Amino acid sequence: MDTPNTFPGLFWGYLVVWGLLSAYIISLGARLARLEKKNEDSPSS
Amino acid sequence: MLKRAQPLITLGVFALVAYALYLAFLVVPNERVMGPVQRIFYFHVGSAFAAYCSIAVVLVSSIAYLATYRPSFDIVNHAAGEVGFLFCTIVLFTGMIWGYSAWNTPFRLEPRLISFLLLWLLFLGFNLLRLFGDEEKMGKHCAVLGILGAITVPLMVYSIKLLPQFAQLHPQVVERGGLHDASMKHAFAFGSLAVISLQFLLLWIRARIGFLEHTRRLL
Repeated sequence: MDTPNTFPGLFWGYLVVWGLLSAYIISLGARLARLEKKNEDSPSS
Repeated sequence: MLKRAQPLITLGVFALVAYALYLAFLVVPNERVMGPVQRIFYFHVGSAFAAYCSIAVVLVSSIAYLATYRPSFDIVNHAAGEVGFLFCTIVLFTGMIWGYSAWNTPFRLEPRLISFLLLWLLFLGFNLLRLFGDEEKMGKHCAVLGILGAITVPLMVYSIKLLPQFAQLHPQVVERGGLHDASMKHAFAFGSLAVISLQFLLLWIRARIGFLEHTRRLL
């Protein structure tokens, strides 16, 4: 039985997953680095 | 100690994700009817499990916060609500793309899809409340909304049984005996494990950010 050409769907599906996850991971990494730097720089730490 | 182990844990999680991708793209065969798009399944279902794990953390932290009013529970609640919403969004989008490729429609009014959309909207509301809500009452309001969201999960899981398979597009994989191919089962297990591990890693990092922000507010 011939399978339909659903490869574009697969491509877009994975692009959405990894696009969302990458954006979130980058934003978390940036926030964490900024906060850790602020904590190191603050005089009370 | 956990903070020092973070690079190692991150590396381990990304190795697991890479192995799951290798299985999903290079090992499992094409599904007979749907073709390559069925390979979304290995991350679509895993993302749903990851979302449920986050929502379970939301439920526990919501109850704990309402019982004790300790800020640490509110911080964990905030982190789990945010990560849970991310995975709910992934499930919704991949499901729509899968549906459009396999059944020519991204969305249809049927119990599973409507109940999942309701869950997504509840967690959208949860995160909007975190952004724009009243600071003083936010913890309490989010805890109540988190419990309501968590109650939706079992309703959504069992909604698939409300209609027979011929009356709905969403497949009843478990009800029909699950996956039959051994490599598909293997890829499904590792795909789910990889996404759940990634979700716990993100939850841990997000909670650390919350604790750091809380410490800075107290200074």
